[in-house]
Amino acid sequence: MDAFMVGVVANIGMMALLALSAYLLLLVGEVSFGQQAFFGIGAYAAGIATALWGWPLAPAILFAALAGAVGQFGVALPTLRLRGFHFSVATLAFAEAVRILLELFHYRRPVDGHLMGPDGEHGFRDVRYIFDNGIGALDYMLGIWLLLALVLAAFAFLERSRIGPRLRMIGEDDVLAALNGIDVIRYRLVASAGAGALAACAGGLYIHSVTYVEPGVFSVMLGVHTLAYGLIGGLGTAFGPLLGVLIDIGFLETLHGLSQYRMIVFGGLVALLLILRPRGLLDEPLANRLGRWLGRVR
Amino acid sequence: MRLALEGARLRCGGHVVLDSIDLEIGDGEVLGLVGPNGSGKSSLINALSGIYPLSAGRLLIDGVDATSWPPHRIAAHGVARTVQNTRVFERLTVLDNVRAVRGCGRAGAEALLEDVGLGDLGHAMAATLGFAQRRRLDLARALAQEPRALLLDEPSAALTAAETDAMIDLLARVALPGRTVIVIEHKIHLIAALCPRMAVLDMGRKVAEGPVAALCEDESVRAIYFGGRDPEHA
Amino acid sequence: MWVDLFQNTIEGMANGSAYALMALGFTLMFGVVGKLNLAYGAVLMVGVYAGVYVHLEWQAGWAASAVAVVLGAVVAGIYVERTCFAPMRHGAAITSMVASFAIWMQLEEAATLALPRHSYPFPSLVEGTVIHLGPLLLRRDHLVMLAVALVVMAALEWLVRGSRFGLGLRAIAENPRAAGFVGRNVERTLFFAFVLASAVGGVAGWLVASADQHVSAMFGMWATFKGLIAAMLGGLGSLRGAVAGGLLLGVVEAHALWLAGPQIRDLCAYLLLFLLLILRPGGLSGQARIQRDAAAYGRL
Repeated sequence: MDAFMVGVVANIGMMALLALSAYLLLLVGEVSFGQQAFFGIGAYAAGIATALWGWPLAPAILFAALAGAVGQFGVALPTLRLRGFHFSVATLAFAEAVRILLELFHYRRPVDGHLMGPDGEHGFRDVRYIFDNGIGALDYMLGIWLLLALVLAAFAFLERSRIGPRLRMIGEDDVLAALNGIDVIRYRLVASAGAGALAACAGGLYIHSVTYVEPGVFSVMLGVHTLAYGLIGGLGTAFGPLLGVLIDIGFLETLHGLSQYRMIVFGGLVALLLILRPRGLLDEPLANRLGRWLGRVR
Repeated sequence: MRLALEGARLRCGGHVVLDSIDLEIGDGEVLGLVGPNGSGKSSLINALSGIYPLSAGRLLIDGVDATSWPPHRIAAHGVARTVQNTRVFERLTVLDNVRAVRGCGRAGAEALLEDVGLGDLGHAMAATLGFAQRRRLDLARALAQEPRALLLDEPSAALTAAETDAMIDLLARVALPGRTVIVIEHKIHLIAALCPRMAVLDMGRKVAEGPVAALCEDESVRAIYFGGRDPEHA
Repeated sequence: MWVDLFQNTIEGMANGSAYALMALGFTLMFGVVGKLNLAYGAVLMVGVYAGVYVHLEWQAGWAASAVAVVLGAVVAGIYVERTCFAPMRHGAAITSMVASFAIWMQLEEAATLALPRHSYPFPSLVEGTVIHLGPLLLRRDHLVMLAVALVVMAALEWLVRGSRFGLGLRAIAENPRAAGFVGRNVERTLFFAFVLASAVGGVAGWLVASADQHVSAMFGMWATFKGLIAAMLGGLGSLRGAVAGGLLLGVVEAHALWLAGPQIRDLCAYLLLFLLLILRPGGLSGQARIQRDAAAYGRL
């Protein structure tokens, strides 16, 4: 596998983790336009941990996940009352506020004689842990996919247990779910924390992969893509968002010459799919059929 | 489980929906609840299940004041209900509709589906069910909570005569035994088949309560239902 | 200090009047379809870019540019209505909202492909001369902006309250199915509501562009956010709320800008929206939430 493909595959892995964070919230019926904020928080947290505090990578990623979980939980508490698009607009407002705050955030420390750290609008450079420690691109990509595999396994486990269906019940009709004894608020809060952790993990992995981010990366466009992956790929299974990422990045790579039209095509695709198949390609009935077919094959 | 409403009053947007209702249902009792449309029957059930908080008065579950409990807490305590406009979770399978309910495992869910006659349809998406089947799924879902009290909101509404008889049979066999039950219905023969006692609501007030047969003969009750005319010659 | 306060408030109201117009467009659309149209800003961008184009190609003055802007916005608005709202009329609100976001991306990219520069000049309506009113400095173009906005608002108010079309709009906003049953052609009314809202938005875009005398590639993003914030501040239920929300946003921004610069200004706008949503989801007019709760419980 050449270096370029390794980079693409690593990117797919990280974007899939981010897409899964939006997907988890979509399951409970929350359309979040703001996961990019926790992606950014995770990136900065992990970058600060390795580049400024000298931590190893794994604890740094854990730290990022914790920051993301706490952050999204903290935002979920005041927005509990909000449903539908009020919630969505609140996530949008919050995410943009976070982006601006990152543009104002300066935290510079001298490391080995150089001044490093987030520098407001100029972003956060020199997050070179991977390269300084001789971790090859291939190994890093495999590490990302190992984490993704674990996350997908966790989702599969959730679906088989009672928790997955309960989350979907809340997403479909939260009043009916409450009548069935489901503590809707508790599930929503836990889902929020989980989503924050996933997005932040993705961000922490991302900053080490590219070594430099600026706040402009964590834009509304990223947030919409994150959401669109689940909506296109399908909400019936955690493989749906992964499929969505594959479609988008696959598009980007094969239509390389037409990459300037990517938004037009992607945007049109999302709208079209939402008309024809609002729950995406791998929607619940299809996921059910595939699950049964796989069960019989085994 | 004993259920009681004391002086229950419910206002909805300026309109008095329940007006000083006093109602007591003993442990294991089956009570019918009848009345014209708009008399407050569904609202009473909604108040008992915690959907609508009472404006005044108390809700007592086994003597405990449950007036301010949220719906999931009342449900967790053992009060289950069906819904008048039958709702199932369309995006889940039939089995998952039952299995994910609090307190029910996979084996228990499968047994319940057998009991209500949906045993073969466990892996079908709930969206594919016909209307009468949805009713039965709704019942299975309520039973999955292993409730000690069951609130049934018009279990036979929009069912054909044959389907209604099947529902009566199902309720008698599966739902009623050993539970405190309130049944809202318009079809008196269903009430008569299942409930020894009934309460009559009109315009948010309880106007009569007593044995079903006696109340059916009562002039004032007939007036409420049939507008004062003899139904034989209506 | 008082002079600064007044000065900023007046500046804020000038910008706020443009925001108010954009909020009116958002609110109009929301009122009839019950769904949020996130492609609205992009629609305005298409309109404004159309104005840029006629100015660039044919040296059009402010009048021809204005016409081009409104026409461009209307055409783009119709495209959005046909793709995101008409086919999903009976679907979930969220679906249309996300579709409109996707179309926003589409329109924005198409516009920047057609006119790729970062910034284009735009003909101004009046010279930006300054009038001195005691210690206050009032820009002539800002005053004109306020005046035009007020005229449009009054016309809209008359249209919605006093005309048959407006009656139809309000009937549909109240209860779309019943309105259909009594014979109002719901689809056609929705269509014209979108046309109207796009036109109003086009006027807003033109006012802003002619006051700034240039248009940047960020216009679509900017218009969407400002219009959305203003509309949601107003509560999305009432036209008057939209105007109040727009003016409030303008004034808050003007003061924030004066005190702490452009980033804090934008930060304040977002925080204002976030706080308002948390504390009073129905916005200044307090409406939308009540409808939503009723819908959820009506299902029982």
